[in-house]
Amino acid sequence: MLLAGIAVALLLRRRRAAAAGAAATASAAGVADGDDAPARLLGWAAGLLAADRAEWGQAMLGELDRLDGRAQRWRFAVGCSAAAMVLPPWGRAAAAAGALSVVAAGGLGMLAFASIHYGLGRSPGIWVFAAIVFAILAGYLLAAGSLLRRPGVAGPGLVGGLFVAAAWLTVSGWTFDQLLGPITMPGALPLLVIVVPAVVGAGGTLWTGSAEAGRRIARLAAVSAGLGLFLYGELAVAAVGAGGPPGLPHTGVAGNVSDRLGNHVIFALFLLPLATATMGWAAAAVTARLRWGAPEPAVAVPGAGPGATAASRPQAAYLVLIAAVLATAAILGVVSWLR
Amino acid sequence: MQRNRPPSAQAVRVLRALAADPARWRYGYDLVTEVGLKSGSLYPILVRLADRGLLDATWEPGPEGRPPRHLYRLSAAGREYVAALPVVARAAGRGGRAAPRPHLGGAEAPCSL
Repeated sequence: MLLAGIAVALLLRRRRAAAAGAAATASAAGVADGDDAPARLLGWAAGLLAADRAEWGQAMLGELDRLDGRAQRWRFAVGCSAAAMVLPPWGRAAAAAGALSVVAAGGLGMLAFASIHYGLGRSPGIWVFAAIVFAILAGYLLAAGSLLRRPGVAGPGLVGGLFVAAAWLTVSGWTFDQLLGPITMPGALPLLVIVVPAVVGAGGTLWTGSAEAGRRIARLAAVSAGLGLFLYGELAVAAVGAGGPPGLPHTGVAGNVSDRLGNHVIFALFLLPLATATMGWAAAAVTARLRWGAPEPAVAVPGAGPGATAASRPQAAYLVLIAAVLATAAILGVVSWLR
Repeated sequence: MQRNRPPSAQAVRVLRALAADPARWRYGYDLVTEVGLKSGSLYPILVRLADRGLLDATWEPGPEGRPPRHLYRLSAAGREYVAALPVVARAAGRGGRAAPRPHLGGAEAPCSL
């Protein structure tokens, strides 16, 4: 609830800032309403296109501009956005997206295998759970696909993901038994939840020279690390079962395995990505502020036409920082309780 | 290396619509409504056709402060290509079932995009 509240506050703030920028440039943008969601959606999707396809994005936006009627605009924008997201060429991003898909499929396969092998398959609940995990993984792959196509994000983001995953495995222990047990190293959790993601966000910002790219790098690192640890953890549960470190007392093998599968999904697909993305996001904003002093330069609004800019949002960086601190405190508590 | 896969039934429908009046420039949304495809299907088809040199494309400047619009029509290679489509495939373009798909041999005309 805390995080949801923070997210809503951020979205409202961004909406006001975008509206202010859009109002100043509405005529140049050709968008009748500065808050028009279909135009913003299509503008975002058009930004995913490769440079030699950029004109097609402008072509879609030009058509959308002439359409009236909310439903008609939504249909057109959603269709074009879907097309823009998958339109080749993807270049090397295709290989990375394929690798992440294999990792996600492997993790889901391990979850299914462990469920069947340890006798959980008879409960319909486990398949509902697997379906939810599948939906989450699909969302992650979609997000990864869009991030991978952004210029300068794929390499640093994937390296950042490896760094985050390696840090968690180093502290948790590389063996399956250690991974399923509690983290005992003093000070490890603040290091993993605060320092490591901050290094990714700050490093990405300095490497690319842009806070926006730094935030995207942090998000890609969060997604890729989450997927990697999801696979590793489900593999560990499938291999160890109810063995290894002590599990729940007075609970059978199936109960312990079910508990471990669920805990690991929460850890790898919720807590770790949330902590990494949030802290990395905040670190990117703060790094840009400290490194370049002035607020982040105004950025072009995708699809808003030549010369259109959005108002810079320096105060949002501080809000994000506060959100990151609060989220981190919550995450530290939950991780400590889970592990 | 660019592959020259045979056109889908949907692509044939787009080609046929453009061939109905090959000299006329069309807007993307006009094609959406005329051919009955969703925008998410139409634009990838237009991209592929343009990549193959079957389409000419140009920009129509917008009124003051509005973005320009993209216009399409068949190129000379596109007209030849449609003329070479088997009758069955042309019928497929009007809503029937696609059958023998022609390969585009040498239409490597430069894409105007």
